Amino acid sequence: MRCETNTVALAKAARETIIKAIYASKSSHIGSCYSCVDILAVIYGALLKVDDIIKNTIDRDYFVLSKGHAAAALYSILKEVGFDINLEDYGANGSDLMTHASCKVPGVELSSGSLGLGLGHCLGRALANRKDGIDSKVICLLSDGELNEGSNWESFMMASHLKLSNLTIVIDKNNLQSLTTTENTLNLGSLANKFGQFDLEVIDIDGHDHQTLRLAFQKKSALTKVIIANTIKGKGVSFMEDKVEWHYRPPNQGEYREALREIRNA
Amino acid sequence: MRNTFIRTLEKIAASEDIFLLVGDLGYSVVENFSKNYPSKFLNVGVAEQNMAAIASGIASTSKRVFTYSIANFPTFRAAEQIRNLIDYHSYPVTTVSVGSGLSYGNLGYTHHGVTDLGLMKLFCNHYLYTPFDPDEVAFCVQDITKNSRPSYLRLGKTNEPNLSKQFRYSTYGDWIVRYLTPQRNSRLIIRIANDSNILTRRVNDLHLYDQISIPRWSGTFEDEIFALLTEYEEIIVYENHQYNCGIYSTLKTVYPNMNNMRSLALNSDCLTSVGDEKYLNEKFLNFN
Repeated sequence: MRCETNTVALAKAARETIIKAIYASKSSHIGSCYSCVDILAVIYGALLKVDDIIKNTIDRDYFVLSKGHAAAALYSILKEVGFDINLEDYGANGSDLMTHASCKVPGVELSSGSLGLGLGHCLGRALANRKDGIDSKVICLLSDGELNEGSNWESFMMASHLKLSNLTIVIDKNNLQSLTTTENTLNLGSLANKFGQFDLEVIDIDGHDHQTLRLAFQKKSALTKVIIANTIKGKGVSFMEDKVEWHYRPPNQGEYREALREIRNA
Repeated sequence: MRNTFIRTLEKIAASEDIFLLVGDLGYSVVENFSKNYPSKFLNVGVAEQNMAAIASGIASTSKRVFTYSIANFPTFRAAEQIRNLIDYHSYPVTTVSVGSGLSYGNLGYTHHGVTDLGLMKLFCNHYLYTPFDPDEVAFCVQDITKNSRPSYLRLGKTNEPNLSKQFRYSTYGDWIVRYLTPQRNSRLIIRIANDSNILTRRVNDLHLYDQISIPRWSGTFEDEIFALLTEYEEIIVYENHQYNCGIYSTLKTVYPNMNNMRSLALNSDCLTSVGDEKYLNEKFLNFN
């Protein structure tokens, strides 16, 4: 499978792969995976030149999942678009498939999992590409809870200062973080207003609407683009949606079967 | 040392694909570089975490990147960026810290680089460069650009003198030893500190000691290092760093039975006095 595929089908296939991997490994973060899997499907299914990523060319498009705890979503999408990844090994003893994104896995550019590190890295990549005259995309996906990390704000300031138009930042705004809502944890207020004040190009959209996502990514701007993707944690499985517990717990057997049924019938 | 660093880097920049990031520091040091190589230079502002992260991103395009700031700012402030983004991915980034030891004198404890090696030696892919005089700085910068490893370069701030006319360097795996004197004695001083007054005052019969420096090292040891050390009846490790987390402690961890090795360094107490480097060295650099 390559670019310009049916991204909705891609996301659906990935949702099934994700829950199988997380159920088998009894690992966390299924809610975080489901809030961003539509975004990943559009990025890899419709935007990035995947063949160049597979060939590891120096001028390839470049994606970093800064919210590395959604690794199962990234691995699943990468597998669907052609990378040699066996999700049955996810989190298993001796496997490269760490449950936070690992650069040892084919197609993963940067190991992540400690929040607040990916954006600065992407900023450097975008800056180097611009200086070298390389016309490729650099995309960084962060979570809204991740914005608690001050290091991100150093990067936002610099992205604005440098006007890196080849860098796109996506915020997976699912409004939940580790213990409760983002509002009750560290109220972010209006992200659109904040990023607008930074002189960034802000696009505020439904993060599960593939067509809207695609248009947002394709919009031209002379500034660094920030796509605020409004999402639902656990999206696609009714009993997981918007529930903080699915940041942590894996499904039991009954929940697994019910979730699979919902995903397949969607 | 910092002037030798920037002059050497400027020469290299003429032909190599390098990049220099500074954390809003380097007044009267980096101006020529920024003017002559504007496409290879960026002041990231007072934002050391971002500086390390940006460096990793630039280095992902195969450029050699140097980050430059004072003492603890580019190291401790950005420790996790260095660990995860630079060291784990083994990107060719060199973290440059100016102000080793007590170079920044009366600026106080925040500006003293006395525990930096304790942090940086934890990063398993890193080379540690600890030049003790300007000639070694030039050697180290050249060596950095010849390999693709991440590294840490520790520099003095002032106009430290060159102290040896000997330029015999020997490589033992990750370690490079410079023989500062002819090898003819049974006692040895290993030094990464420049201040010779302290040695003169603290060590009796200094002329009876061979001296070596360690411009490059890591946490990986080679048998030749052990063989070199066992040639000597007495060894003093002289470093402008806390004794419990620098090069002495590293050697002592690997060779715990080497009871003939002593540390001439800072103790582990936080410094509270004010003074210039010379005063502070005299007061605080002692046998431990």
